[in-house]
Parts: sequence; structure tokens; C-alpha cells
Amino acid sequence: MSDLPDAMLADAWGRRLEGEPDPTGIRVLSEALHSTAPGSGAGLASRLVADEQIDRLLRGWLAPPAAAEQFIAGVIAAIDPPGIDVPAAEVTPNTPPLLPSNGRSSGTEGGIELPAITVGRRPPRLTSRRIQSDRGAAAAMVTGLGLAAAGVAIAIIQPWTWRAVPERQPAPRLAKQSPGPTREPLEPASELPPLRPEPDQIAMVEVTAPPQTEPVQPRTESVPQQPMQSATWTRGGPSAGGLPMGIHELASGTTTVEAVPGLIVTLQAPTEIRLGPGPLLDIRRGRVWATAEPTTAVRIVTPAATVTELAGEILVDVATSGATSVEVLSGEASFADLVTRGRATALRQGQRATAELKAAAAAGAMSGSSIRTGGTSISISEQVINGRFRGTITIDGNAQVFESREAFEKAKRDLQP
Amino acid sequence: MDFSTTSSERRGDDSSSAVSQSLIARARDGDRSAFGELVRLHERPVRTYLARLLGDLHAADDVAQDVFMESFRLLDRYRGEGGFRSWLLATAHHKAVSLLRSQARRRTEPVADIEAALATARLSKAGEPGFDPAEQERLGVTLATCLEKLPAKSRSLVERHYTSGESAEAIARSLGRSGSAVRMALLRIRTTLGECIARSLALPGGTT
Repeated sequence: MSDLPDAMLADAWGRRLEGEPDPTGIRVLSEALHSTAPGSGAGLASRLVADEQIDRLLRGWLAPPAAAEQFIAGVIAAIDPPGIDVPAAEVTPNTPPLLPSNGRSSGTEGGIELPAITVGRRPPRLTSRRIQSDRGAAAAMVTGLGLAAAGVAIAIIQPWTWRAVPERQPAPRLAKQSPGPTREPLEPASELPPLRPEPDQIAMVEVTAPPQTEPVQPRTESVPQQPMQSATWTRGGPSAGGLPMGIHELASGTTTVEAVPGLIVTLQAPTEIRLGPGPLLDIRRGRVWATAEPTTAVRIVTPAATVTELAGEILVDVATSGATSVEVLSGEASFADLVTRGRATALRQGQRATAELKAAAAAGAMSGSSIRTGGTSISISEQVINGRFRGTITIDGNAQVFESREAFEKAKRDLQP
Repeated sequence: MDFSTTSSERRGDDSSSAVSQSLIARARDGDRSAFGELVRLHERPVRTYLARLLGDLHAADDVAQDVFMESFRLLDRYRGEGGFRSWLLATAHHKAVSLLRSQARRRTEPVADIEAALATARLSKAGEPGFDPAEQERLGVTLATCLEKLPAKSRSLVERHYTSGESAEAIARSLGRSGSAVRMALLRIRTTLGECIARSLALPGGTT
């Protein structure tokens, strides 16, 4: 770019490179790019793109390595985690409860850790339907492995979830351009704890199902019924062909749009999302109902979690801290936390999963999971400190601690019916 | 700041190719952690390459994720010719060009209009020198060399903005200047770097 653009254009362009919302700059750039004056139009676009390429080169090569961590975590989470390599059974010594109950997963207590039931190795399976549906022998083989592994995953989750899920009234399907669905009250995103993710923080996945004794409640809380025109976008917004790729920020109101063919979203302000190729729905904050056809293969990501294999309707709440709650209103979805890269969990209608970012309580990686059903809470966690294994299973606040991985695995298997 | 050290440390494809082969073999056997290491080894060049092609950092990351997921799925088809990173970059190039083609067709509103105009320009540049996947390692070295040639003030500005992540406004406040002035200064530096890189790549053997 030998001849530099004028100061106003350079400023607008610089803001754009930095990702700053700049409505004035958009107008300046648009006019310059579509002007027929010398130095404008396609020639300007070419020079700006040349500059953009240097900018991206610098950002790519000079960015601190920490910036890559979330990307890497996202890739790993998108590929399903290792399964269970069942070791030879061993008598499990019963040890007295050591950890107090705090009503939550013991995975966060005393520095105890770990992505729950994830132990050992097996051939990887893929969670993305997009991948599984691909043609070819390799894909068929991988898909077969995936189905087999999914069976393993379900077998583990089943004891605490499937048995406890009562028959619920089918959730109403979200129609295109319809008002938002009615639903059970959920903790609003703004009320989730204001936690700030840090590199050394961990996520905890909690999967819950309604207790058997809980009467089926009609979903009474509805999205505020506002016409689409009442929605105020401070950034982006729908165009004639749906939602363009990019960032969209809804400042007020509620609106329903077909983001891409087969994916309908209802946004309740304040919400910020980004639509990417794939399709990918990146929910940065706020409350979003998403309904996807099984063939859409949408990937939904938040700062703390990822949802794949969505076939039906889900409600996603993302707090400003990134803490994420996902509830399946109809159909099913696959949920995985992004930080611990833990096992993807199959969620069915009426089930809810949360991924919270919490400060690590002790040195070393730490994570945990809990499954609560029918009033019983089961938490499983493990950690390795200074090479020593320590696994904990907590049932209703009563913890058993295992210093032998084999015994720990055996106890986990015994939890299954 | 020693940009050459920084870049060469992150470059590492030659030394890592043997490591990659070992990791690929383990990943084929179902070792997910091995694949995670492969991602860690190659994410930066792939993401940078896509960011240059696409302009949009978020879209670049989305496509990069697709690239790695696809590579995981197709690991058995990787024959080992040309290096794993080149294989990844070729896949990335193909996906990015497809995306640019679809973006270039969209012209519905001012923002999309800008995107369409830029996507058209990006598409034409995607076929130019500098976007051959095999050239990416050379590009990293070239960038480091050109950065070292910058005046100290310019290098400092680059470091603050790109390495430390300070916004133009923040830098401007600390320097008692306007944000526009800092953006213009950064634009001039990038222009200088772009010219230096173009000259270096045109030389036989590269970067001297």
C-alpha cells in the first residue's frame, strides 16, 4: 500500500482491524470502497486487504501463546474424549467419608479434581454429526466407533439420569418467527455468579435431571412477547437472508430469526452472539433459544461449553462471566465443557447441564463432575498430585476417597446397576 | 524485543516433523492426547494463515477448528508426503477460498457490502505469491527479519499493540497522542513491513 488512505479512512480502517464497533467508520469505508474516484473502489479494497494481511500476520506470530489455549481446548472438546479402558476388577475398600458436603460437586473441594469418569484410552469418537455424516469408509469406521462409544457414555450416565427422568410434557416446537417458548424458570444469566475466567481456572460440569417425585410442571415462564420490530440491535442484526455471519448484539427486546436454514434462534436482550461458518453459533452472553433440524449440524459454543448434535430445542444461558447453562427443551444434544475438555454428555429432554468457571483450589489441573437425580447427588472426581492418584466419589455429601486408580474404577462401575 | 527468536521458536516445522509423525501414529491408534499435541504444534501457523486469507480472526478460528477436526477424521488418508503442516495448510486454503467465494456473493447491506468488496479482494490475493502453503515457514522468517529492520520506536509500537495487546487508544493515552495518530502510525509500519516482506520473498532463497 504505497499511497496511504486519508486520516479518516485510516482511522476507520484501524478501528475495524481492532474489532471496534464503529458505525461512522462503516459508512466511511463503504463509501470509499464503492466510490469511482481514483484511489477508491477495487484498488482501495486490494490495498486494504494487503494491509489487513500484514496485520493478521503480526497478530498470528506475535500473539502470546496463552491466546491459543482456548482454541486448542475447543478443538479437543469437539473431538470426543477418551472413554473407559476397564481394568481388571479389584476389591474396593470402603473408606469413611473424608470430605464434608457442600451441596455441590466435591470436585471443587480440597483441590480435588478431574473430568469425572474419563479414564483410560480407547479409539476416539467424534461428536460432530457433520463429521459422522461424512461419506467414505474412514468416516463409516469412525462413526461405528462413535456409536459404540456413545453406548459406553450412555451406560455411565444412564443410572442417574435416564431412570430418573419422568415423563414430561413435550416441549412446544419453536416455529420460525414465533415468540419464544414457555419454559420452567431458570436462573437468569445476570444472576449467575460473576466469575471471571482465568487461564488457571477450571470448569465443572453438572448434569441434573428432575427428581422422580417432582410433578411435571408446565413451563410457565415465557419469553417477553415483543414483536420483532421492538428489537434494538447495537451491532449487526438480521438482513434479508437471515443473520449474516459476524457479531450481533441485541440491546433490547426479543426476536426470533432463522439464522441459517434449519436453525432458528430466539434472542432475549441483552445478548451478544456471533454466527460463523459451519454453521457455528457463538453465544458470548445472554439467553438464546435454539431450534435445529437434525441435519443442520450446528455447533454452539460459549466461553465455557460447546453443544453439538443438537436435534430439537435448547435454551442456553450465558452469564457475563462465561458460566453457561444448557437445558434441552425437546429432542437431544451433546454437551461438553471447554475448559476441562471433559467427556461429552448426551442431554435429553428435560435435562440441564452447566459449565462454570471456578478458581482452581489447588495446584495442578482440577475438574469434576456431578450427577444429581431424584434427590441423590453423585459426584466423581480425581486428581494426581506429585504423581499420587486420588479419586473421590461423593454420594449425598458422603465422600469415599481412593488412592488406587483400579479401586476407584471398580467403585465407579459398581455405581451402575 | 528479539522478534527473530520469537518467530523461529514458534516456527519449528522442520524440527517438529519427526515429532508430528510420531504423534500422527499415536493419534491414528486412538490417542486423543497425541492429537491434542498435534493441534498445539500446528495451530499457530494454520490460524495465522487463515487469518491472513480471511481477514476475520473469528472466522479464521472457526475454519481452523474445522480443519483440525477434518484432519483428525481423515488421518488415515494422510500419506506423509509434503509434511503434515502443509497438508493442514492446503486443507485450510481450500476451505478459506470456499468461504471467501460465498462471502463475495453477499451484497445486502452496508456492512455486508464492505465484506463482499473485501472478500473479493481477498479471493484474488489468495492465488498470489505468499499463499502457497509450502511458503508459510519462509514467511515467518521473513517477517522476523523485517521486524528487526524497523526503527526502535516502531518496533516498540508493534510490540505494545500486537504482543501485549494494547489498543491504539490505550497506547495513544500513554503517549499523549490521539488514537487516530497511533492507528496511522501502525498503518505506516505495516506498509513498511509489507514492502519489506514482498522484497524479501522476491529474492532467491528468501530473507536476506
